[in-house]
Amino acid sequence: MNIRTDKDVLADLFRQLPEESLPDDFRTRMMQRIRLESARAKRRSERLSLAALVAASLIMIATGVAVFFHKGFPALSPTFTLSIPPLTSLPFYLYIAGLTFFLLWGDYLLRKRHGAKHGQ
Amino acid sequence: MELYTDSYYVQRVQAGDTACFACLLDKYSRRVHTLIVRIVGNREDAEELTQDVFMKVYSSLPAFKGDSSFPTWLYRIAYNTAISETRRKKYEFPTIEESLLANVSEEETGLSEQTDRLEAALALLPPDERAVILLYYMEDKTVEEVSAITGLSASNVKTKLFRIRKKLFVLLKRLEE
Repeated sequence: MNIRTDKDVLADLFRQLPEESLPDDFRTRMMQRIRLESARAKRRSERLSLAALVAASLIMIATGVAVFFHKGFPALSPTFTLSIPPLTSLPFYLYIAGLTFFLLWGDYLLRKRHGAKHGQ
Repeated sequence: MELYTDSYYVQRVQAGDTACFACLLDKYSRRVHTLIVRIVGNREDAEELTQDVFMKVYSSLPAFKGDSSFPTWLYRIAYNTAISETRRKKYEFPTIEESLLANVSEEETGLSEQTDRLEAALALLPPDERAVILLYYMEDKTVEEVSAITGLSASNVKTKLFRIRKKLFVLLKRLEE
C-alpha cells in the first residue's frame, strides 16, 4: 500500500501548515527547571550514597557483634597485661594529624568555591 | 550544517554537562510544541505539556540506550504525554468542530484558505488519528518510525493512515462546500 506519493496533495498541504511559536523566554525557563532538577538529582544521589555507606557500616558492625555473640568472646590469657606505650612522640603525631585535617579542610573549601563559581 | 549530532549532545548530557541540553531544546522544542498544539488543540496546555515532555526527556536521558534514534524516542514521549492529556481532560472535540467550521473565512483564497480548511478538518479527527497523520506528513516520519513512536504495528499504522487520509479528504470536501 503506497501511501505517500509524489502527487500527494495532503503532503503539500501539510507542508504549508505554519509552525507554532514558543514564548521567547521558553528556553531560559526550561533550562532553569533543568538546572534545578539536575541539582535535585545530585542531592538525591549524594543522600543515597550516604545511606548506602551508613547501611554498609551498620551491617559490618552488626555482623561483627553477631559473630562475637555466636562464637563467644575469646578468653584473655592470664599472662596478658595491658601496657600503655610511651607517649613521648604523641605531640608529633597530633601535629601531623592536625596538619592533614587542616589541608583536607582547605581542599574541601577550595573545591566548593570552584564548584560554585563554575555552576557545577 | 549541524556542528554536532544528537548522540553527541545526548552523551554530553548523560556525562553531566547540563548546558548541552539547551542545544537539543533549540533543535526540537518548536517542532514538538507544534505537534502537541495540534494534538491537544489548546496553546496554553500545549506549552506546559512541552515543558513536561522535555523534563521527562531530561530525567529519562540516563536510561536512554540509543535503541531507537533520539528524535523517535523524544516524539514517543511527546505523543504519549499529549494523548494521555487528551484522555485525562476529555477534550470535547465535536464542540471545537462547530467553532472552527464557523471560523473558516470564505473571503480567504488560495493556500491560506486550504491550510485553514486542513486545520479545521484536523480538529475533527480524534487525537490519536491526528497524531498519526501529523507525524507522517508534518514531521516526515516513515511508517516504521510512526510505528515506533505510537507503539502500533507497522501494518496497523498503514491501515490507519489510509483511513485517516480518506476521512480527511471527505472532511476537506465537506468544508469546501
